[in-house]
Amino acid sequence: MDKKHTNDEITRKEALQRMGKYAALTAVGTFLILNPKTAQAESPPPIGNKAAPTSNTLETDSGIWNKK
Amino acid sequence: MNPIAPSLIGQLNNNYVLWFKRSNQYVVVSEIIKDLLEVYLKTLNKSSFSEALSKHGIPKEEALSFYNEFRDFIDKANATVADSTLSTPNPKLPVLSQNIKYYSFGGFLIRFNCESLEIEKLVQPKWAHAEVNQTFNVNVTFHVFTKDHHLHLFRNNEFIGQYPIKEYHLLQGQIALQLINTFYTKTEADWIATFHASTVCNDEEAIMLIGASGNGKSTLSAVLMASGIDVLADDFTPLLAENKEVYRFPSGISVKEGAFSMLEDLYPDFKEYPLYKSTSKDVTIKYIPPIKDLKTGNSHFPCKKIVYVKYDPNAESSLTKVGTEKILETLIPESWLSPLASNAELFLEWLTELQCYELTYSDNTVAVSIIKELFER
Repeated sequence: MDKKHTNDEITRKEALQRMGKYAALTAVGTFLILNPKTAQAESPPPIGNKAAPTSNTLETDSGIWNKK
Repeated sequence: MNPIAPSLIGQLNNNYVLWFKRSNQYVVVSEIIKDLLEVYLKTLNKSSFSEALSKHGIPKEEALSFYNEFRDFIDKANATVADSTLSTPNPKLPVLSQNIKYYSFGGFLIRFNCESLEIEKLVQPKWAHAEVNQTFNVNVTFHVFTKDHHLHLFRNNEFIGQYPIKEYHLLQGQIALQLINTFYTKTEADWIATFHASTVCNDEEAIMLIGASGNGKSTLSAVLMASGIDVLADDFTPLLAENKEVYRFPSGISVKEGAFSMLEDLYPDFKEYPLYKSTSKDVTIKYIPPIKDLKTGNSHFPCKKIVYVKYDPNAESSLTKVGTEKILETLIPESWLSPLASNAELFLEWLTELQCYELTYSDNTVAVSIIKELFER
């Protein structure tokens, strides 16, 4: 695998030479940033006979989800 | 080293995968974009960037436009997101009701003490097959309760974390992590990733099945298991740093109501499995016990094949090879990837070893044949 740290020497001549050719076709805006989850998670499955907790249940002060 | 530059760069065919340590984000780019980005990071300002590019025939206006786009890109690539699981320090474990169940996994006895039946239903149905009556020699005890609109998790009386109630899948994920750490004597830092994927295996290797929720990956896992294929993990597939292998996660396989009648034909006792129902989502679910567990099945395998699964009743079943870059678009945003640089480096290495496929299927028998054949490749 060609893996390297970017503090290596950069600005490769051959790459720059190609820039003129490709520049017109290059759109930086097509980058796709892939952001992993910040914590381990599972798919939210349904629970028992009860609806999955929703934001509504968070807003109420009563009910099973807001005890204590 | 430039703190906003990608810390790692891996190559996939003609594309490059950049990893940004600050945000733990990945970006797939073409070679020319990577090279232009390197020039951008090396130059000090707009005019020197424009000057560097002008030597190679790129007009000034175009170069300035690139400069702005790269600046915007670098900002986004390094942007961090707020963590909703942040916790208050040292919450105390209250006295909970004696709502306790025990689960056995290959010699490990796990005790769950949930505050209520509702919470129990939140975290335990997928483990129902492993429930036992034994109450002695407990290895790990989990306590789960709600306080201040958050679900709280304790392990052996030690606070682990708190999670907004509506994000209860984070509690489930943390319990899953705690379980694999217990089974394999690991810590979070030992794992490269926990993928949102189902994984099947033979005696030598594993194949990971990914796809958007509802694409049929769990249903396909259940179909494959009915044909005798070992399901290593459903929904949660951990990848270990030490050997870059995926590990068994012995939960039940979750299947939705739409697949029940088809699965009744494959599993004679399917009707006996408990039903879990969500009134709000109008979704009913069952968990099929895995055919192998930590005692009877190997715990880990190399995984060098990933299949993007899509059920389409109107399509002809087919398997096509796709680039790893395409798979990453689903795999990364759906999964937890370790923010440690050493693990990110191993992840990039692991990617280069992958063969990726897309499976569109309408016919279970054909899908089973395709996966069996893929094991032979």
